[in-house]
Amino acid sequence: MNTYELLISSPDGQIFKGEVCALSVRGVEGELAVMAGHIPLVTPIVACTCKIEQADGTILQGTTEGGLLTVGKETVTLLSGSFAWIEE
Amino acid sequence: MGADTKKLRTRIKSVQSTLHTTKAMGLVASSKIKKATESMHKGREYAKALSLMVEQLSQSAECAKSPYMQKREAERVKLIVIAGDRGLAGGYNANIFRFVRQFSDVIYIPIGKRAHDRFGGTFYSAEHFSYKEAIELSKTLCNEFAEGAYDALGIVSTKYVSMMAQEPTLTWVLPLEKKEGTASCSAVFEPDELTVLNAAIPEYVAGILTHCVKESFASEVAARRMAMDSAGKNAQMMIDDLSLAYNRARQGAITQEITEIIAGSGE
Repeated sequence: MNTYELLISSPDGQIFKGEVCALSVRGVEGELAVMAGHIPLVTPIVACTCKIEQADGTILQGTTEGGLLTVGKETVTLLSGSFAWIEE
Repeated sequence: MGADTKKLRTRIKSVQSTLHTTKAMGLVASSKIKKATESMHKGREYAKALSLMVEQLSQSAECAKSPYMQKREAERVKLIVIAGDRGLAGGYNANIFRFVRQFSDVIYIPIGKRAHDRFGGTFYSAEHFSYKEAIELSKTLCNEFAEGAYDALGIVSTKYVSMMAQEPTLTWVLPLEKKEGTASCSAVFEPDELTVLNAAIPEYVAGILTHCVKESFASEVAARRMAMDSAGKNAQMMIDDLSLAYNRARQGAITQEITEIIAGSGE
């Protein structure tokens, strides 16, 4: 499966940086998943649970209270005011 | 002579206790510096990314309609003033208040106990300022700006140049200014550019505000550390001078006593 670089940043610093296969969040218009090769996109996201599928198949989950998602050609950036990981 | 030495001894003791206090405060400041500067550097990245995104958005023609980009005559100005929670930080608080003095007819929003004591209003701690407080304040200010309650919003904070130097600065946040030379973003905006910009602005203001508070706090601790260092040195110099005077007085008293005894035995 193709991967891309995901960067999650908050005022407390960099939360996550790494190669991932998919990211699912809830945008203002509904749920959306970003996979490799997605067209460049900028959208606000609302408070939701973010699901990150890493290159090795492990799934990470975290909660955000909203923010901005920017999909670039190579990097996807999620700027979130507050982000917390959900412990398994 | 006896009274003189007693007075000097009391003064030496008092300066010594001041030295202890400055040493302790200096140590507390040193232990906080690392954490404060780290937190400042971490927040800088987020603030930069947000600024870049808002700059790119502001290039679009659609976004010019946003209420946050409407430039009006700056008659009613709001300034967020960030000062410290405590004193004894050299010129840190005084520099901020001196800097603010150049603005007249301005509504102040204080952050930090010292600023709150001076300007009143809601109290926000500078040391424990959270993102939650920032976003709440930012949402209120953005709504007021969009409704036309005031014309410009600025943040007066202290820029951390180095351990030795910190300077007060003013950052204008609202209205947004279209910067020339920034490449516009070719991405798709969902649902549309205007909605994205309007949703991004409160986050942007909160992000910049949080960063400014963190930078100011790092400056405050650095300023306190330097101030306590020089206060400690001055106290040590005073103790040295007073000890010299005390020893002289003590020696003088002994010499006088001996002279009196010798004079007395000779008769």
